Amino acid sequence: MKIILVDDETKFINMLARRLLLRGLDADVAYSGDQALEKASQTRYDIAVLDMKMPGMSGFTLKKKLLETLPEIQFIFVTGHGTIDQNGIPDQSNDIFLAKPLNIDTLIDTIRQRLDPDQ
Amino acid sequence: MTSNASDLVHKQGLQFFGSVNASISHELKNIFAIISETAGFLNDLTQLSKQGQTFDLSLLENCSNSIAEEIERGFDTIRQMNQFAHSVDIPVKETRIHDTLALAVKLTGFLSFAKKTRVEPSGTEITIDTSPFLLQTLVYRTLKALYRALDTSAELTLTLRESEASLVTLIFSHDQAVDLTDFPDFRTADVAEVLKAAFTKTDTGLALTLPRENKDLRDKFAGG
Repeated sequence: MKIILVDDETKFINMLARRLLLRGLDADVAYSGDQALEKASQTRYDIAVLDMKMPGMSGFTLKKKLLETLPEIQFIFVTGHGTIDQNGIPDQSNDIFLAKPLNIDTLIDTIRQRLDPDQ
Repeated sequence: MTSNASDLVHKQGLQFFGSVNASISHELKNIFAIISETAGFLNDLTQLSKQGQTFDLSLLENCSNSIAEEIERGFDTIRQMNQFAHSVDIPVKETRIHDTLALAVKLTGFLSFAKKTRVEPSGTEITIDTSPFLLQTLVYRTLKALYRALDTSAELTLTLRESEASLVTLIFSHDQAVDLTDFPDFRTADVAEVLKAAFTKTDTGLALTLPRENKDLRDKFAGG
């Protein structure tokens, strides 16, 4: 399983990647949408954990661009907003949204469930 | 249109207050997320240590430094939140424009599409008699419009000039041409009208001219 974490909060995703690695999950990090696309052109990721609001490119825009390179990739969105409103974003209806601060066990359960819904 | 001043504070002001508070809470959540992950990592290291595994002790130092930095970032954010909250204390007063600009740059800095912005120091302290809250609203809205129009790599400089004895001009200069055809929008135009402020647009700059004294505004608020 190959994961990419994308967030402009560099300390946050670096720490998250370390904690996932301690639990046996291999996660790359990217600090912007452009950096994520560059990495995705070289590595086949199974799942992307994306911050919704980032400078330059939003998580939703990045999702569309990643799907062009990796059509099978799954997504989890992470947000610092108080409420998660999917109104007006119909193509996001199947996406999973997690609120910051994250619980590492919830994130791992969500990643596993996303990649293997029958487990 | 000064008769609309207090309506404007109540209607637009509430919306603006909510919008700024939302971006501040977003910033605080990011800070807590980092502290939470770092504390979690320290707990992971503790568990490894209990199992007899060794690790580089510099990791502990890095974690404590990171937590201290985030706490300072949080305090700084709360200081700005407090300064912003107090901008409604006195409806009209002598207002230091440089302070308004500095706070607006910090508050808009929480927006995901914010651009690198610096406020040039002015040689002398420039004050105007106005509504500090509405002035904050106007500068914030102007910066927000410019951030949306500019490319990611753009840089913005804010300069303050005493253009005439009775006028002060804020200049928003940027290093790329932008399309500001739709600016000011009607809400920004309403605030500008009450403040008797006028915009002048060029390809690489925007000037906002304000009167040193706004007697209509003071009379309106003094009269309740």
